[in-house]
Amino acid sequence: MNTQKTIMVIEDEQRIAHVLESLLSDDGYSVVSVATGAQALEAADSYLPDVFLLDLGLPDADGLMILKKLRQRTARPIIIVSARTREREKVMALDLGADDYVTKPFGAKELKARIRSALRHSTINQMGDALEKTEYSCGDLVVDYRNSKVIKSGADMHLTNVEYQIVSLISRACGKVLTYDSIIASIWGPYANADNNRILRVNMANIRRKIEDNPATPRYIFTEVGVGYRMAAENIAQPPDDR
Amino acid sequence: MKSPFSRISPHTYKDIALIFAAPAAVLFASALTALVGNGLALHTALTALVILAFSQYVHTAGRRMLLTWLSVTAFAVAALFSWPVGARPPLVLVIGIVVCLLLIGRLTVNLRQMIEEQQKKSDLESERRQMMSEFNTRLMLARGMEEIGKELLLAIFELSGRSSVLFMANGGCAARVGARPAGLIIFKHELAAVCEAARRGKMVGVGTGICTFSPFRYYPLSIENKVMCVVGVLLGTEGYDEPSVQLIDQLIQRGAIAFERQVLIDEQQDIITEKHMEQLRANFLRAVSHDLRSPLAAIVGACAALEQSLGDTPNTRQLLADIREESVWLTHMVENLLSVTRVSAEGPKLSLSAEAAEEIVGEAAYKCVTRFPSLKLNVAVPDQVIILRMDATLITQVILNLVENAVKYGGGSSVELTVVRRGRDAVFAVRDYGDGVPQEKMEDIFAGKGYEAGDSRHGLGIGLSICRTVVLAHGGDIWVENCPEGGARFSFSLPVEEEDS
Repeated sequence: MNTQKTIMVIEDEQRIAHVLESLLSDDGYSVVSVATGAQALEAADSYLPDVFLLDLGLPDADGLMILKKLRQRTARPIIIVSARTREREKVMALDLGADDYVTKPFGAKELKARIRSALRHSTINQMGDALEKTEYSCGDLVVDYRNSKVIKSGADMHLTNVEYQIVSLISRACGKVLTYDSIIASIWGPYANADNNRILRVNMANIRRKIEDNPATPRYIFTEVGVGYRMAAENIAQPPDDR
Repeated sequence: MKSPFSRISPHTYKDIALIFAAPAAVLFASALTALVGNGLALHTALTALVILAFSQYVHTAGRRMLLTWLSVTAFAVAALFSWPVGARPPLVLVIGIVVCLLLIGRLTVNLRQMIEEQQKKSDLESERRQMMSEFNTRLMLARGMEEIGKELLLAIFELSGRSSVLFMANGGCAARVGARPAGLIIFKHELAAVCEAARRGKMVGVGTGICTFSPFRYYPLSIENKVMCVVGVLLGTEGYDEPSVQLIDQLIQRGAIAFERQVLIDEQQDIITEKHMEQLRANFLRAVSHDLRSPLAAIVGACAALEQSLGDTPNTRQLLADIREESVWLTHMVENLLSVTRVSAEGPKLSLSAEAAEEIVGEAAYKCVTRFPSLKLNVAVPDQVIILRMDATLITQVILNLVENAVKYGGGSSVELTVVRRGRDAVFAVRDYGDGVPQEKMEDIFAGKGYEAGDSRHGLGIGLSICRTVVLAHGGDIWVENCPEGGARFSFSLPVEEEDS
């Protein structure tokens, strides 16, 4: 890492904040830790952190409100760290603009992997803003946006139109969890119904059979159970246990 | 109801007085007319007047008739004997007048009778209306099925004078909950008719052509096509009058409406209570998850941080690894406990959604590998996509528990996790290569007994019993078998969502 990245930890629980600080600073990140939503909004302007870790259970305000306000100020990745495990809450947070979601208690490895993934995603996006992205590549897999093709180890995987649209959508947002509803809305339009949920699952299963070695232990497209899908961040072939 | 004695006393003496006063008045009138001179016409008119006037105040037709007779006799006597012999009116004329007077008396009596009957009828009608409205009010005030039933039976008894009995229908059987009069004897075989009414949802018994052996007619009261109770009204086998049956129909209808209203009220109450409970539960869950998870996260994280920053001090590293492992185990336990709360608290209302089986297996496999880094987990899913309706979090937990079980008791480090389609079910299986499950444990391995049997501190009995609870709540089945080539296979099945297209 050539420049030091700043991570802002918004967490009211002293111990967890402390653990996160020591875990992350050991990895060479600079960590700013605040305990309330108000401080978070203030510090976001002065420190310009590269990644936010946001706990939804804050003492002074609803975490989702803070998330919304943060999202209005910055395009940097926001990862939710929360003890709330209901899918509904995850989906709400993701739809409000969060990039990813980690539930407490989290594994240290997992959290770090997700931070890395989010950082890569945001760096690429910043570069990508300048010129239109032409492809996504990760390990053996290449999504060729110009020719609308998905290529694995040099061979065309022959995805159907809908399958390609799904892959294209989530690969452009790689590293970020896209909720089922947001995927359905982008592919099938706002008049989608409950059936589309099922169709999405079937399509995803077919995509996995084409691009993954074992559809149950995916390397490229990950399932966030009950929430949505996330494509692996670009350029790094991840082992199955490092999402 | 008025007793026969109360009817005698006040009127009878007055009536007797009037009956005797009338002929006296006639005689007096004849004396008066005699003074006037030839006043036969006047006398006749006065007599008619007396009859009309006096019979107004006399009760019952018989007494009025008696009064008329006596007055006419008095008239005849006066007409024939009070006059001087020469001026005596001819007998024929007197007889003619007597007949006329009697006719007038008769007509008055009839007219009077008709008026009275009409009066009585309208009195009855208004009384009935009064009772009906009272019944309605009482129904409105009645709280609970039983009270409504009681009011209904009372009303049937008061308004139609018939005995009745109330049964609560419960599935195929019926239980007597009340009768009017309370001691009404119901023969055992009547229950057959009651059940028939409950089953058909139609009237049975007298006059319906069904179960005609019964002297009762049974009215089923149903709410949303489900028969809640049956009211039996004793009509008798040999005949009943149509108006009273209509009245009973009306009463029963009102009773049915009241029952329906009660059910709605109850439902509303239930919803409010449930909402409240839900709120409490949700709060409790949030509290538990927050209170238990946060410290665990801190412990696990702190260990990881320490392990990372410490140099090569094997002893300390080992201790740290132990702390972390135990914390992870505790975390897992908390997840399991939360699963139980989720299933038992929400009962049949799991938050189901359509999920692809392979995604759940994938998620569980990922969690397993994170927890047991040295585990060699082989995962196989079918080519055909299987979509299931399930609570994904809970099923993931089930698979995780089964794999953990396989790791702990399966000896080796290799575990197979598969899912296949079998008929209308998807069968998930976790197979290990250990010694298998001892025969004597096969029976109640899912019953949570392993815990009591002192199977070390890691009471996996709990884990397996949670698996069972979750799978059964999904309408599936769970079982264990020993493979012929060694090792145990824990399997569970879930019903596959039917494809409509």
